[in-house]
Amino acid sequence: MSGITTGGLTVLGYFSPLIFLGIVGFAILGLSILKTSKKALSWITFASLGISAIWLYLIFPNGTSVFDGTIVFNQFGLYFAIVMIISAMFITYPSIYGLKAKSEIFYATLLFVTIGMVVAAFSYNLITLFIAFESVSIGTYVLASFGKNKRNLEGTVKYFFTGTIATAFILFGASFFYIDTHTFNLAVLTASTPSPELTIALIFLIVGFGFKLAIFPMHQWAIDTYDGTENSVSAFLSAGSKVLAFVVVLKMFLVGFSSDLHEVYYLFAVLAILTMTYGNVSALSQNNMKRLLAYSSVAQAGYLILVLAVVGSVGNTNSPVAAVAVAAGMFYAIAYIFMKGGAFITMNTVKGDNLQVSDLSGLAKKAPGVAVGFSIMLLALAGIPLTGGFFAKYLLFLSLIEGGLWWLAVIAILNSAISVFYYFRIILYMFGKDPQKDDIFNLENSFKIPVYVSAFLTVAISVLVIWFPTMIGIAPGLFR
Amino acid sequence: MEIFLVSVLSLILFSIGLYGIMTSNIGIKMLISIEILINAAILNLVMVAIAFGNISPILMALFGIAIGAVESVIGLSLLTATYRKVGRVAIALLKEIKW
Repeated sequence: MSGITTGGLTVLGYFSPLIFLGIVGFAILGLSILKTSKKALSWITFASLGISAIWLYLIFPNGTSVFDGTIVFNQFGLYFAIVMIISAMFITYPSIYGLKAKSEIFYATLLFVTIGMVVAAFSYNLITLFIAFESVSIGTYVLASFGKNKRNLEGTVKYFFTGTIATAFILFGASFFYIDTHTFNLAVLTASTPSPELTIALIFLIVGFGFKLAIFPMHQWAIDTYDGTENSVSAFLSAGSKVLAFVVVLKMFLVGFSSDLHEVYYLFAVLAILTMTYGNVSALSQNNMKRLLAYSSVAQAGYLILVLAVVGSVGNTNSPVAAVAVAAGMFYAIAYIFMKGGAFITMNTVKGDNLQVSDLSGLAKKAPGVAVGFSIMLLALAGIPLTGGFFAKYLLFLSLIEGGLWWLAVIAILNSAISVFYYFRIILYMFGKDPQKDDIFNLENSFKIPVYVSAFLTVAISVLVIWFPTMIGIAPGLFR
Repeated sequence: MEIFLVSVLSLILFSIGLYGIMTSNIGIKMLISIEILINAAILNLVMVAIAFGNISPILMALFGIAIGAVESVIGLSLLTATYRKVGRVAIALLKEIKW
């Protein structure tokens, strides 16, 4: 905790993209006096997020660690920081539809949330990790509460109460983590043997961070909140905020518990199986469209935490298998943002709150482009070839087999097979049936273009697979 | 030994908070229970700081207090919104979302 010592201004310079985002956030709040239109605000937000991502990339002090190793600028963090900035950029334009009033507060909060996300991507200390994580949580409570009707409020209230309980669990787990390791710094390798305190800390921290990631026993808020909130906010909660939770969980359990990886392995293997199976099986019997997508996003969280099971079972963070597994997680994160966020944003094209699967019937007759785009995203979620989702799943399952966990790979592949059923059911409704009512779709260009863009990106992201060896090179940066 | 005793005390406090959340559906009561949960964690952190003679758990506790305060603000504003919608601060009256 030495603070800014020599060359304080250079350290401040490392954070300049974040300071810029904060200033733009306050400027947007000030713009409310001028009655700026929400479209202009959304473009200002989009542009400033893009500028800060490029700025962060250009000034990036690779390998520098500041404040006694509290914040470490490495390429792993940079990758996830940019992925999370992209996830915020992704919803700036589509969210115009849901905003009836006070749009400047929405966009300013979105910028503040992004700052928290970027800080979390670089921090290696439980204190900064906790503050960044909570600043994102608090910001997303505000984002979720946008909207006038009772459903928005109900979704937010459920999200808020589970989120605050999770905060208390994290704080409590942190105190037990300190009792065992005598530090909050995650990367300091303590030679401690597994002790009861560390096990208590592990359980409390899994409950706390698992709430945000919506893994199996802590998933129920996610279903109601994704269903209740505005579509673009659901997209952000299920894409950006989930990727943030994934990064935090990777840091917390793979770096912080590196002396105790065996318990991490057992817990996360069991949690992954339960989460995948529960999400996919519950989605099979869903008729409500947004709840179906929410259950599928619970299942996707199950695939994501397979990474922790692989690294835990290898037991050695320096091994190449661990690097491949983390790199697979990195690829999954970016593909996941486009396919899941895009799927929620597509719900903007249907009018009404409580969407059923049958409401989508006949979409292909009214708007073939939107139907094809949505099908591409659903196929990507199911893991059908030629999409980003296929490569993401392929690499993840490959790392499972390389780590010797072929039985877990079999369970994951069976789960993917189950998921194909409910995704294809939606596609059949879209292409095979006639529209129920005449006037049920919003088919202006402003609703169609986000769907086209996310469908294009879902396919285009598979090109990134060429850089997978580079990602394997970046991935050990997680463990330093 | 003292660490163990105070840990047990804060675990009991934590369980009281969890019990309060699970059994009540009145918003204010739930907020108070959440404050009990956070305070149990803060008590444990401060105890750890005293036992090990280090300042960083105190830092964590201070940030915990600040974040707990911000969360109460958001919680109270959500309860105000609930009152405007349903006429009471009973969270259980919000039951639009079903499968």
